[in-house]
This record gives sequence, C-alpha cells and structure tokens, in this order.
Amino acid sequence: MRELEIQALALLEARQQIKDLICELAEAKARLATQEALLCAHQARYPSSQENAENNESTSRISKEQPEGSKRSAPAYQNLPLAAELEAANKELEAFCYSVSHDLRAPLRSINGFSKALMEDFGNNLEPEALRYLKNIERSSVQMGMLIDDLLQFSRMSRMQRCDAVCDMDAMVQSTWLEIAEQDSQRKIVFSKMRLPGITADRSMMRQVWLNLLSNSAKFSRNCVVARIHVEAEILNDEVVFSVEDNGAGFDMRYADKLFAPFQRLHKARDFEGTGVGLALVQRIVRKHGGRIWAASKVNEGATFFFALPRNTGKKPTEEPGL
Amino acid sequence: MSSNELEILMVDDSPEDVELMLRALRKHNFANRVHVAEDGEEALKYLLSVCQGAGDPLKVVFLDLKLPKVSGIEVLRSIRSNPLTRHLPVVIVTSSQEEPDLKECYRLGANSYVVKPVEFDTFSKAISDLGFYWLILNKPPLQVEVK
Repeated sequence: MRELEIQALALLEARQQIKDLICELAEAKARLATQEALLCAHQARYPSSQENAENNESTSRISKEQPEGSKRSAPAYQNLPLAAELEAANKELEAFCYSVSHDLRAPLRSINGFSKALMEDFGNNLEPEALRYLKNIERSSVQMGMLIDDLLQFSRMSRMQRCDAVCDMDAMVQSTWLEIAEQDSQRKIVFSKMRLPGITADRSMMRQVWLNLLSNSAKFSRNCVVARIHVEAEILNDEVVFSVEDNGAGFDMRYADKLFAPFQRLHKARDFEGTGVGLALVQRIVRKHGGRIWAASKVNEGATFFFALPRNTGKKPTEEPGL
Repeated sequence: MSSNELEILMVDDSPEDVELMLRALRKHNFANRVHVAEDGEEALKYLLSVCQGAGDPLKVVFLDLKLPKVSGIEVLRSIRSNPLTRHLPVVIVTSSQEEPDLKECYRLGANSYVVKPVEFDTFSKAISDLGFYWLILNKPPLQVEVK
C-alpha cells in the first residue's frame, strides 16, 4: 500500500503541474490579447501606412521587391516599433505552442500512466467504486490529450500559408472515404457520390476538409440501421458548392451558429465523443480559400454540410486572426 | 537476455516518465540494463566515462529533448561530433512533435524519433518495442565504437 500512496502523490503532483500550466496559458493569452489590441489601435491610427507619402523611401522600395502575396504582411509595419512587438508576439506564440505540446502532455501521461499502473498492480485490492474512479481519471486524461492535440493542429492550421495546386476532388473524396471505411471495417455504410469537379486549392487543407466532414458523417450515423452518406457538387455561377449528406443523428438548427465555433459541441460526450475542433478547422480552411460553409439538419433525420469555393481562386482569402 | 550490462542510456528529467519507461522495459527484463541521466550534463559525463572505459558499452541512447542545463539537441550534437560516439544509435524519445525539432534531430543524425504517446498502453508498448528492437534485433558493428 506504500506504493499506492506514492502513486497517488505522483497523481496529485501532476495535477498541480497542469494547474500551473493552465495559469500560464491564461497569462500568455492575456498578453496576446494586449498585443492584438495594440495592433488594432495602431491600424486605426495609421490606416494606410504602406501608401503613406511621409513613410520613408526604404519602405516603398522594400514593398516593390516583395512578391505580391506577402505585400500585406511585413512592409506595412517596417521601421515602426510595432514591427518588433509583433514579431515578439509571434515568437511568443510559437514558444507557447511548443510549451503546450510538451509541458502539458508530460504530466498528462503521468496521470494516465499511474492510474493505469494502479489498476494493473493493485486492481485486486481495490473496491469496484475505486476502480471506477480510476477509470474516470484515465478517460479524462485521454480526452485532455485529444484536446491538446486538436488545439495544436488548429493553431498550426490557422497560421499555415495556402499553397495552391490543382485538386482532383473526385479522387480525393474516394481515397479519403476508403481510409475512413477501413478504420471501421465492421460497420456497413452505404456510400455514394456523384462525379466531382476539380478545383484549385491547397491539397492538404482540402484533404483535411473531406476527412473531417466524412468522418463526422460516419460518426453521427453510427446508430442508424443502414447508414447512408452521399457526396455531391453543383456549379453555381462562379462557385462550386460541395455537399456531404448523412442520415445520422443530426442537430437542432437553433444551435447552428455554434456549429463551427472551436470547442463547441452540440452532442453529449456520452453519445458522441469529440473535441469540437473538427468543424472549426474546416471553416477556417474554407474561409482561407475565400469560400463559405453552412449546414442544414433536423434532429434524428441526418445532416447536410455544404461548402462553396470560388472557381476562380484569384479571390483574396478571408482574413482570419490566428489563435 | 541474461546480460546485466548497462546497455541503454536513458536521458530524461521527468522521474514519472522514467518510472513508466522502466516499468515498460521490465516486460522484457530490460529494466536493469538502463542507466538513467536526469539532465544533459549528466548524460555527457556518463558518455565520457563510458568512452574512457569506465562503464559498459552502450547499445542505444534514449534521449529526451527538453532537458535542464544541456538540451537534448546539444547532447545529440556532441555525441555525433565525438569520433568515439559518432555511430552510437540515438533515439529521440520526446513529447514534442514540432516540425523544427524533428528536422533538427534528423539533420544532426538521430537514428529514430519517437513521440511519447499520452495513452499508457501505447506508451508502454512503444517503449518496450524500442527496447526489444535496439537491444535484440538491431545489429551494431562488431567493433564497438564507444569503448
């Protein structure tokens, strides 16, 4: 039982570490908010510093040398103390992400590991209720691990630059679906799709869109006797509207505005597991491509997710603030 | 399997992680073949003593990246720059899955890079697989460079 005490202590210690890190997280967030506010204030004061005549020559010369795409970012703040501040904020964000991925994960592994070790080594001496508590601890730590991973993926995606190429959406959907179906080969899902038009977009981002939408459909239709998923596309003026339809659990349209907000969920964890990041990520990607996303559903009657992408990708992406 | 030589150098500053890793290695009876260093400086000192013939020849180093005093990257760099340890297999075992870390480690000649899973069973399996692979399956050159 001495070992049991030691393991309980280790668990407590790990919990304290997580608490400390969460405090740090809040502080870093507050610092970033201040920096964002500073930036807004600056933009309000110098709305077009780039074209401003009183800006010195070096700025305009640098602007000319910059490739089209990056024009908006760096040179506008050249020679201003804010540039340094922004860079510092960016560096801080990077360091913070690193810290989250490393420092939060380590105590989590300890919580998960020692509660498992307790069960394995001392399970015979524990009351069923004690075992149930341990299972709860373990489940929560796994859930937190997923949250951290998704948070990191989300922030990485938010900062990522779009790298456009020709996307064969038809082949992409086919291969993504096979991948999903393979992971859950016991289930029978009737999958259908019409021939999808190609588009110019960032391939890895588009793949992520299909992966998230299709696996959502598979997840939320798992209680159907026969699950059906259908993908199609329609060309409307200068847009292609893609849609993914399923006959699953659906959601209440009254809460549709929460659907794409990060960490918001419309289903109980007990019914459908998840972190609430998948659709937020999809929305970010679609907006990065200058597109729109929306959904239509009825509770227990399935859901259809639509996303529209411009056929002409010369369109400027909607600006999204980083995390 | 009867060897009691210290063939793994485990460099990790988290006593909890070390304990869980040793627990996993016990499955193949490898736990008594591990020397633990809790920071980069200690690891370098131990490596030096091995080079001078004081310790058993090592088969592999399990190296964490975020370490007090001397970081894992620096330890890796100095292992690779010393002719006596240049060929010593180094496996990065870390929580970080940041691309810059991965790139830097491979650039410096890490033999493998493993992200510590949060989930205990996966973590245990990863570590005991690593032990089995580097101590049993992997074949080092006969001329042990370390000694």
